[in-house]
Amino acid sequence: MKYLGINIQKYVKKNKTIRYIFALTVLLSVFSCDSLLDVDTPQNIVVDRNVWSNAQTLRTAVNGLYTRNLLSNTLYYYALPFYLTVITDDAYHTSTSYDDLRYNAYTPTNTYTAYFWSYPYQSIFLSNDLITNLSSTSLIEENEKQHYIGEAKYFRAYSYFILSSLFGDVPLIESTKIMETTLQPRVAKETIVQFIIQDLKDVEIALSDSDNPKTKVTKAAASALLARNYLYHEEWKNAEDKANEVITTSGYVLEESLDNVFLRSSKESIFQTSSSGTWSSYIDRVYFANLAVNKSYLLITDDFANSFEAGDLRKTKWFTTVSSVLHPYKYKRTASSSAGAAEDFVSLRLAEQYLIRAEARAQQGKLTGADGALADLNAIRKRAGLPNLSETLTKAQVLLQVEKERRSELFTEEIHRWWDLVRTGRVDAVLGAFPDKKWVSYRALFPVPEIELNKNKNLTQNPGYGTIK
Amino acid sequence: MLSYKKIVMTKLHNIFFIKKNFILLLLLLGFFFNYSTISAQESKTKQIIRGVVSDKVTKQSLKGVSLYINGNHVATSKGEEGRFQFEGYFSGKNGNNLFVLEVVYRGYQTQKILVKDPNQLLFIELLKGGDTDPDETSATKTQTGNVFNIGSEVIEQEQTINTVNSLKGRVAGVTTDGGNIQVRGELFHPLYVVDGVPLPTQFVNSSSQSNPLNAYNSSNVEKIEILKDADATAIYGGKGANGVVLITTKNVKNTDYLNVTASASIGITGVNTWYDFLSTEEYLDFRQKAFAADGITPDAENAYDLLIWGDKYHTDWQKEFVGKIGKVYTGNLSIAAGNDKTRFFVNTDYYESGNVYLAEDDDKAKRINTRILVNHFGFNGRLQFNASLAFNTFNSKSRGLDPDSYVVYAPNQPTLNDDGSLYWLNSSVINPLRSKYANVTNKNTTILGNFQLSYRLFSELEVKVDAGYTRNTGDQLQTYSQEYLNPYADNSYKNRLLAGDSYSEIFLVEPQLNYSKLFGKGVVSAFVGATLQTESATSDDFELRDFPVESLFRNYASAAVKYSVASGTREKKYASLFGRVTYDYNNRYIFSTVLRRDGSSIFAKGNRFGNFWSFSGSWIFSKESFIHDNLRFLNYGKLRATHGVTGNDNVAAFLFLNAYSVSTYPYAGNSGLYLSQVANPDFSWEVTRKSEISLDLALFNNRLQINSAFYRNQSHNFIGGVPLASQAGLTEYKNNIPEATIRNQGLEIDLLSTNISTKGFQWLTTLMLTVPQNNTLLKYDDLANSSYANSFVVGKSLNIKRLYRYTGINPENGVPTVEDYNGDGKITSTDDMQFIDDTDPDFYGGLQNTFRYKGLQLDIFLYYEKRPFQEGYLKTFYYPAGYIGRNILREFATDYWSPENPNGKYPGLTTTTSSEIGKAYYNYYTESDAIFCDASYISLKNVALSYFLPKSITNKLKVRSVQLYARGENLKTFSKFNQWDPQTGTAIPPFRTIVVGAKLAF
Repeated sequence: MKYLGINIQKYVKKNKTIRYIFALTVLLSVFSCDSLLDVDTPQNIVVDRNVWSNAQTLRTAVNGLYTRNLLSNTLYYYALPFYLTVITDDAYHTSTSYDDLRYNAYTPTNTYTAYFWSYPYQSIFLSNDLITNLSSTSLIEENEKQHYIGEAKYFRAYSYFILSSLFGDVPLIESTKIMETTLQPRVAKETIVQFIIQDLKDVEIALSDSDNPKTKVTKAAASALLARNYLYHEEWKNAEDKANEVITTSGYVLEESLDNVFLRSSKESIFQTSSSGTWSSYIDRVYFANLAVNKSYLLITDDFANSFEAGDLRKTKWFTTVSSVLHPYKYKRTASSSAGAAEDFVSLRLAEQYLIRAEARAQQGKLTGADGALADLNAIRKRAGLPNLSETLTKAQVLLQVEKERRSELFTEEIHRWWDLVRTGRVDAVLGAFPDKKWVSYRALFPVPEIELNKNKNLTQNPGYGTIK
Repeated sequence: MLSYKKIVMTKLHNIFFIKKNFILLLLLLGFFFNYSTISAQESKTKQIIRGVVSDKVTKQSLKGVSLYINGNHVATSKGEEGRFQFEGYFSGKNGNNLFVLEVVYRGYQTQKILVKDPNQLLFIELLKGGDTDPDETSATKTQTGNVFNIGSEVIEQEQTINTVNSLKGRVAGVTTDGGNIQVRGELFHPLYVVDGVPLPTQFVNSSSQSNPLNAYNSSNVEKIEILKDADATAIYGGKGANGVVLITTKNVKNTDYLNVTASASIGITGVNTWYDFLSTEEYLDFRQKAFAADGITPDAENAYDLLIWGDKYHTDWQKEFVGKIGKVYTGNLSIAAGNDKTRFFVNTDYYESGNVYLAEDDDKAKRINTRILVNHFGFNGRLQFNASLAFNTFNSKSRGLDPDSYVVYAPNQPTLNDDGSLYWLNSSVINPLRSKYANVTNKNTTILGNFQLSYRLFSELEVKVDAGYTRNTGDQLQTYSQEYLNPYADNSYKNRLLAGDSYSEIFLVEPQLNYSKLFGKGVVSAFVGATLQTESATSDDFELRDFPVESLFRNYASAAVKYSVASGTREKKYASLFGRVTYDYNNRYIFSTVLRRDGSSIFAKGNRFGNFWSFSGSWIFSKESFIHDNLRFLNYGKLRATHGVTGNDNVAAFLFLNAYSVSTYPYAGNSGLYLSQVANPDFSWEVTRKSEISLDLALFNNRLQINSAFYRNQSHNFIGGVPLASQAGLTEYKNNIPEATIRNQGLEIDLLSTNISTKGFQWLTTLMLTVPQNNTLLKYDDLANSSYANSFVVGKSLNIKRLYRYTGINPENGVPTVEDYNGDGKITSTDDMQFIDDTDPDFYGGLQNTFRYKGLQLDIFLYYEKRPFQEGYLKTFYYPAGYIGRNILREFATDYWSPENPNGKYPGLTTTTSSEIGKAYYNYYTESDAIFCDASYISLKNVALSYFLPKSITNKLKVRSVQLYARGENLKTFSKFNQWDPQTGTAIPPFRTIVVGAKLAF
């Protein structure tokens, strides 16, 4: 070093300018070098180029659809029935925190309704990312790629279904360019519905040759959800055909016994959340425990309890009585006693398809006979230990009977009662009959959360909200 | 690491002039060890100057006297003999051996002594009286940056566990918040530099007890300096853009005998202020009235507090949680010795504080700090080597839950059953006492190693390398025993443990060349330096559940459920090159400029480097004869202006990459990844333009000193988290926001007054005042179309609140009402939240009075703050008056609306949130200006009384000195604020601490 040092010194002494240049070059070359500052990425995140350059990490990212949506995003297990059942005439919480939902006093600052604006968009964000990145990858076979895109589109369609069914018009987000999407305005509900239908049709095609188990997205799941959307969109023929397709071709059948419907081995369920592997006890606790046995939550109203016909097995098998109050009890497992029959959380099942077909047929005037509404209703009633309905019921009476069967069959699954009342326009008559509910028509659409209005000035509020009495 | 002071030192004197090419030496940065052979002929005998200082009349020796050569502090007299000693290469302006030594001591006249023969022992005698001209010589006065420092005597008056707290109100422009400093309203934390080595930012950001700043306490800190303006902070670059806090620990003393100091103190600490809540009887009566007002019949469900609990219990939850008095013990032992060549210093501190939160006997915080310091001077003083090693441990055990939200619980809520177990009612009512069964232990260790090696190649040039290494390990354990759980709730776990380990280290090396040279009547000094810094950290967190018994908590294998595991790593690199040139003409005009190039791994390639600069000029106008002759009362006056551009990289790393996270749970046995961060490859250094004008004056024989400064910092393209609407899928996006300009400006004034100064008695007053106008959004292009449209207003503070305008209680029904601003008949937040005001303080500061009488000294320190608009009690405890299970402040339970009192100040009573009053509480009332109130306060922060035993006694005791002291901290706060304490808001007030102690020197 010393030798070298003296040599440099002698050399640069020759010319003053060279000395300056040399000095500056040495120093600036060191301090302009980006690589001097290279650091390792943190181990707890994965950089996107590492995700999309390897087939295995790519598949892990696709599996993120399930881990994030089914295990982390409460939208996919307890959020809908837990927070929103209290709006309807089915059940209530003792906690006063839910009073403004129970008595229809919710405002744009209500926390619980706001969940249903943000949770679906978190899911949509994941799907949009996967769809974008999968579309351009060549790491995997085209077939496998289409499967994955299909799975992502299913979750996106479901999220938009939740959004549009609760809020009406909502922003239609198809990219992860967050600085742009954060300011997008709402679009008409009709546009959203068409988008959902198109996504689900795509899923049907993409997954037509998939061998996914029913703990993952399947063609049948997409068809079942599509049937529901046709029904809600009042496309009666499409709804009937799609439900019929699920009932006749998917291979699922109604369970004979009510005890088996929510078991992992259920022959009736079309899409269910796997509780095998490391089934998080969090979900266990919140879903099963709160809904079933925790006496502070979801107490069945007298109106609902009294609506059951005498001898309806669902009232005995799917309810439990704690301190002389009825609670829903479709799932038997609780966290502290995780022993017992293996249950999976069911999000789509065949009984709903029967009820969809029944309603769609009734709307088209097909009431009796082998392809009449009554046949489907009776299939559901038979399992509940109830006699067949009279063949003389009018169309209107059959539709009311469909509403009653849906209430008795699908309670505390998603928020069917609310959707039914709102989409049929019966909500004013039904909830209006309870004076303490203080029902007002505009509440059929939830308020756009105030916090969203603050962050995106292009959003508009639903009519009616923001009035001080 | 170079400290500011050392840079000033490089203006070193009128040095013997030897021609040598400066630029050439830049090349030799790496070879300096070998360079001594080339420059050997320039060597020169080092001078050692020693002497003693005493009072000319009483002949009593004086210690603490400062000695300067050409404005540079060279030594301070020490010990009972008032001796001093220093060494170096000193010469007069003409290159001869003559130089002038200036001797400065408060209360005495400054002496200038011409030193002819350095080897002769100097006997300096000072005459009492006003200082003739002390400040022109002190180091802080001739430098061009805005530096403020606090000496150890102030720090020692504070008992706080965290030294940083002692800065509150002592330095204009500096606020402290939970152990962290904010300099001039900067949103980010300043850089902390301990003995030249920066502390990793992520450590000091945490307000937790493991904050390593806790290790620097009253007995081992010599002084704290705060660098505020562009010029002063420029040498620290981006790291120091938010201000720099320089902590200098106590250093080696040169004594020829073994210097032993021991001190110990004992005291008490605890909460001193309390909310005024209703008693059980009053509470029950109030609830009955609320039911009557609602017209609801109480039943076991909606009135369990009335019908089940009754009036058996009378619990003040505040006192239940923080009502205990903790004991504080401190101890210190230091040993120092050395000679001209080698010195050492060993210091150990012990601190123990009993916990007051729900404390059990063994709940306490303990801290032990040990420092070893070695100095060596070699090669005739050309070589100086300093090495220090500090080892700090902090251990604490507490019931780790914040009781803030529980203090409002009903006074009649039962606490314990007869068998001593916790009382539970149902699944939704929490028993706050469960916190007894939540244990939190912290173990934290910090090691700081630091060495500095400097070599003076020849008189003008010094080569220096600083290197530092810091390592911090933390181990936190939280355990929740079975008893913690509500048996009525369906708990998914039994005995539960959360553990977190962290490990982080920082390594820094900083080579530097210092050069000083005489030019005519002035001195040019320059340096170039470089910094390379790497920071890395790892952390592991895990949660284990269902331990069979509590006693097995430390036996991780016994947990039946291994619930969750997380790990993290972080790395950051920082490199910069910088240079500074200062010209000091005749100690009268001083100019300085800094240029630097900073690189940070925080940014994407291509955006990593930024260039920054500053310029400053000072004019000591009191030296001009036209001022000096005409304004005789003016002893000193300096006008200074600085302007500079600094960069800030204070954001999380790797924001320039799209990143996926791993899901917590696997689905059906397979783990999943999800997009958690959308890349922003474009963002880069946030640029702040800092300007400052300051005026420093000393008047009336230096009896009055005024330091004032006006600063204006404007941040452009600042890095902000742009809040996203939920529809985007993520909550925030970090970006430079070039559309916006944010301004921090303010006026800072420090006044130091010697009110009375006689032989026996002295009275000194220091007043600090800061009038800030910080975080003003100066401009924001197209704000209306941005995500901030409803958050900010151009021309106003970023800390504004948008609120409904409260329009009083409806006298008909007791419902609070707010203004329908746009008159559309609806109350909507976007349109009607038009009451806009900021929560910033108008001004704040401190007032210190010191009284000395012989060996007795009394210090009283008051802190004051004017903050007229702050979220009050109802923001935190937003329950309607009359709500189940929640106590209420007496204030709200007195003048409320009722049919009999239609003009009541507060809303009517209700037991439910679904009544009209209840809904208005949640939706409008607590979002209106009605719940804000004046949080201004004056706090008696410190009172310290100390007494030095007279020499006659200490001589008999065979000790050099004995000091006895009593100190009180946070003694009393005066305020109208309705939260717990204006200093902490809803959180627990600062503890009042009172200690007594003694300090002995042998």
